[in-house]
Amino acid sequence: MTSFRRFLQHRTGVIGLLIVVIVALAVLIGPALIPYGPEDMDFMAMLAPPSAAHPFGTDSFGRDVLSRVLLGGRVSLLISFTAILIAAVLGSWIGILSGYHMGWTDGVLMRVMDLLFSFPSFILAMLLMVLFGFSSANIIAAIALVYLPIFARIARNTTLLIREEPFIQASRLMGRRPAAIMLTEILPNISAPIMVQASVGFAFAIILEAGLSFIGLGVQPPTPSLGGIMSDGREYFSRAPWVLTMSGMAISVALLGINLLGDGLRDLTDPKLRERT
Amino acid sequence: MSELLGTQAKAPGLSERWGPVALYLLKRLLSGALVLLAGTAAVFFTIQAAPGDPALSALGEQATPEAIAAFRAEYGLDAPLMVQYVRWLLGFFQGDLGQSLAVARGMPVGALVLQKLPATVFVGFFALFLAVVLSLVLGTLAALNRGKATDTIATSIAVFGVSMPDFWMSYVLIFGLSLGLGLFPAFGYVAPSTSLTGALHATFLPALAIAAPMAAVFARTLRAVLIETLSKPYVTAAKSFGLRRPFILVHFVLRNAMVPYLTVVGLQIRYILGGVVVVERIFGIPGIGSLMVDGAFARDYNVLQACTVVFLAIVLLVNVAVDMICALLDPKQTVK
Amino acid sequence: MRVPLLEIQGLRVGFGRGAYRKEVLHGVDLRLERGEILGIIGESGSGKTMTGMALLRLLPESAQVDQQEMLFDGSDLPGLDEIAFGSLRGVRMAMIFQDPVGSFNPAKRIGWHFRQVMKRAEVAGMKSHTTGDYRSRAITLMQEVGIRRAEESIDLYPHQLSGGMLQRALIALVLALEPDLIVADEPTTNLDKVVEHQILSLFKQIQQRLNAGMIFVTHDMAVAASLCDRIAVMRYGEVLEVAEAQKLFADPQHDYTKLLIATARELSTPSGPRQEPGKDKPPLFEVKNLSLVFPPSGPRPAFRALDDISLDIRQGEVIGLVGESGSGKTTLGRALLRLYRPSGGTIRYKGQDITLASEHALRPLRRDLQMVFQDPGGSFNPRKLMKESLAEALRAAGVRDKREIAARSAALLERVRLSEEHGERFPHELSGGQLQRVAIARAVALDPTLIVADEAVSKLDVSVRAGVLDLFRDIQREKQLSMIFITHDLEVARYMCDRIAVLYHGKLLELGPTEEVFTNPSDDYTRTLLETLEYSLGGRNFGQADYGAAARRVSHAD
Repeated sequence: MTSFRRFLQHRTGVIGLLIVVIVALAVLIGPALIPYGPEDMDFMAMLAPPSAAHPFGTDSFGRDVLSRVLLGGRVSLLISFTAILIAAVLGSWIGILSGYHMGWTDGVLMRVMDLLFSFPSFILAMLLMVLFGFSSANIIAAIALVYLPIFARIARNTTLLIREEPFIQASRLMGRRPAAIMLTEILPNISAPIMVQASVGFAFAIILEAGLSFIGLGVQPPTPSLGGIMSDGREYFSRAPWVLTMSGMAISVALLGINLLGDGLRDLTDPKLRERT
Repeated sequence: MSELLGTQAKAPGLSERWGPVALYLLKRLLSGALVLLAGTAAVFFTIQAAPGDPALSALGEQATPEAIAAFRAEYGLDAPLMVQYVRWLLGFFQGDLGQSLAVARGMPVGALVLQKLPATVFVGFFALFLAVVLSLVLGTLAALNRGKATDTIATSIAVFGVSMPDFWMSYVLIFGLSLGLGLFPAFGYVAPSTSLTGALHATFLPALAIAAPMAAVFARTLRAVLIETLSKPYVTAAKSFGLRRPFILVHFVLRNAMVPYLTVVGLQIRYILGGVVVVERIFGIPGIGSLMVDGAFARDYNVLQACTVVFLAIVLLVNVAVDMICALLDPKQTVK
Repeated sequence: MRVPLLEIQGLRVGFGRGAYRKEVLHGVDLRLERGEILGIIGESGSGKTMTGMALLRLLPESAQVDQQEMLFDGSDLPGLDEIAFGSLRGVRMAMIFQDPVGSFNPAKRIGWHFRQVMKRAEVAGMKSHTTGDYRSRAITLMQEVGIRRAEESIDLYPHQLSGGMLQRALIALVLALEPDLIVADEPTTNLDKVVEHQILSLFKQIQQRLNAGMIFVTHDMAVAASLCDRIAVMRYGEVLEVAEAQKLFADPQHDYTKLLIATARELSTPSGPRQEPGKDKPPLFEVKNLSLVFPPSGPRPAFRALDDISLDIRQGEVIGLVGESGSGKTTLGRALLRLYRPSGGTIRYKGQDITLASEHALRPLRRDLQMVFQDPGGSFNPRKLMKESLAEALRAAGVRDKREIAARSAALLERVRLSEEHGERFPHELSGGQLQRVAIARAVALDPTLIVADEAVSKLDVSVRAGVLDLFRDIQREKQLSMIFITHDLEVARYMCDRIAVLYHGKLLELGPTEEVFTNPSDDYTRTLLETLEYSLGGRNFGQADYGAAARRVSHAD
């Protein structure tokens, strides 16, 4: 409660939160409020510029771009969010286990994470997509796998830092089971950096998913996705720049909100960067 | 400075630390090679584990069983997996990465990669250079004017920067600087061996598109690191000795901020290379990224595998280089 | 009339603006003559450090400094612009900091610091050095402050030197400036006792040589008494009283000063009769030839922290583990509790060999063996209320009923002289002394046979230290617990312990009844260590700064 109130004093963080809430509402209930479906074609208005009827214009099939952007946004955000959630939960678990037990568990787990971490993220995701197919579940799995080592590393490093803290030692001395210590003592105290990393990772996951769909190795048409709409738009971007521009701006707005929110969270949790007043 | 150097005859410089640094380099290269080896195995067996048959995708669904068997024999796909891997690995050490199955059927992948590599390396380093320069300016300005208008402007630019994916940034740059102002070409590539200025001109937009989001990340890191370094006791101590502010900033603050900053730069290399793939497609640059996307669509596993390993090798090499620089900058890593 | 070197009146320092403004100095008046050492004594939060920082304009930009008057050698300091002030700071005024390790640029060699500081002092034009041979001058200065092998040390990086050596180097740097005013901010607090005494005598020497005025900020009464001509006592941003050093201790005026002196004196007599637990009963712990080697990690080579240590711990006795930093006393305490895995030897608890027992096998024993830690802030999960931390301990002790847990934790809080209301707070809402009391309550909740207290009072302010020590002693008597009291503070050890074990570089030098060790030590090192006690409040040499004898004998120990 107190930390939430402190967060409310962080101006940019609050702006970020507002943007994120608005974006979330828009993609979740927006499509229901628009008279056109994302697949509805209007052959009378192909590549129509933005107007009152079509605020974002239409594409080459006469489909309403706003409707497609909102629905595509829903798909992209859900995929990215799920992927990051999985990566954060699994990664924290691996990291805590590794950092708390050290020894050979740590050695093996971290070498695997190091290997995963050495691959360029986009390349790894791309390879996995090609090999295992373009289903949404596979996109989620690929993105989660790419971000897994980041969360595992952060969780491990913070665990290593606090495992020597007196209050953890005190818990050990009470004879509590390691699992209980990890769950009730360590996890709550490493959740802050994990949260911050999750917000950063969420933004990167959106970019990664959009990039995959953009080159055609992600969400497959006819399902709309932000990257896919941009990819459509680039084919005629000199004649009808709004398709590309509007979908690109939609990505930027979502990213801006998440990044500002992440900044707020980080300033809140990192005492070193906290402003002195 | 010359009057200082004269008195410094007995004070050894960096040279004395080359020994431990070289040892460190050797160790890092060795562990890098091990990771690369593990990486090749991981990629190889993942590809084998994946559903789909390279012969089918190369020859089409209507291929006769005889044609498929011939194809498999031709490319050695009928041998057991371990044998295939060892064969591949032996070839890899001799620069033989197998033959392309689909992209340029029958052509050695090694030659293909060598042909495409320079463009990717050139654009990648150009982008890295731009990102570092931009971030040094932005990050330093923001940290030194903390809380003032300059800081607000610089951090805002950085936040907008990280909110611009490279492929979207590419089109913004094309709209503005190419179609709008006509300053740079929107498509095409000139090899630096043909004309260095021509290459810089042709690849400026793609390099900037990759660099911009990275510069934003670097700048934010640098700002945070600088602010932390500014509050270190040795900075206060330097002030108490009356050392001039610019001197303190260079030798105490920036000098000690470089190691954490470069560490982050090293970690971000993997994102820069990801950016290369998409941006190469957009700007029509004949690099490894384009090759890999072609290989992906054609399901040319040999090409995919080779490209992945090459990208992995680049990341590992750059990381070793960054670690080296950090070891040189930070005496704690190399002395005692 | 003679102009004083420094005259400060009505110095105020505040942070923040408007309703958020918090003033930390409320009008401080100080005066300093040439050749005089003025001590500023105070506990944490008294504003003693702030005073020196404000004087040298080293406070962060967010600080607002205001004064009626601040005269340095007759010139008005606040009236000087940055450039004019720059010709004073680092030229005629210098500062020595608490953290010698942090005061050096970690990326540069020691010699580099000398070169830059000397060069800058020459450019400032105030000093007339004839030659530009920085190196040989720096080596001379380093030899003067007692840095061994100065010709080699000058080419080392800061992390290669010990804290004591770095503090000497910092003093040599200040010496190079030949300033008129030196502000020293707790310059010996982070150092071991023996080294502290060497550095203090060094301070006396250089101050006499330069005939500079010095402001010496410290929390340690004995240190101030031995070094300072006059002493100012500060609390909550105000100067309570200023007096000649001898007069202050002989006849303190302010109640707070009286409390500080009384607390420090209390420690010079034992807290009660020593226990001599029966030797007939089998010991609680038997430790034989215990050794522990930390494996190499990163650039750090393997390190033998414990070397062939044997001792018994009997039921109901308090054993003091004393030694300097790096002596292995904390490691020994933790190894006994099996928080570390020994590399050799045996540990028997109640006859059972637990040397290499697995974590799983240890769990039933864990509750018997408790610990109170040095850092009160880190001893509790920052996200839990104090009563939740206590409840957790009670649950671990097998109490299941919610009402009983509540009643018991209230009783525990009362036992350590806190109220139930303290249980409703988070760790950061309690003071260090209060946290340490709850930590004792938590340990007691598990009904242990042994409590290891690891420097449990060293981070506490002097005025609350005795209270926590007495609480330890009372509870120990009441429950007939055994205790291991780890401390670097010999007075605390003498106050608390029945037997004393002296550790040095991982070896057990001697072990004996407290009185015997203190009056008739068998080891040379112990003797050197004990000599530092003579300068404490109750000691024979209180108020003197001649540490020459001690300094000579242990120069190898640094």
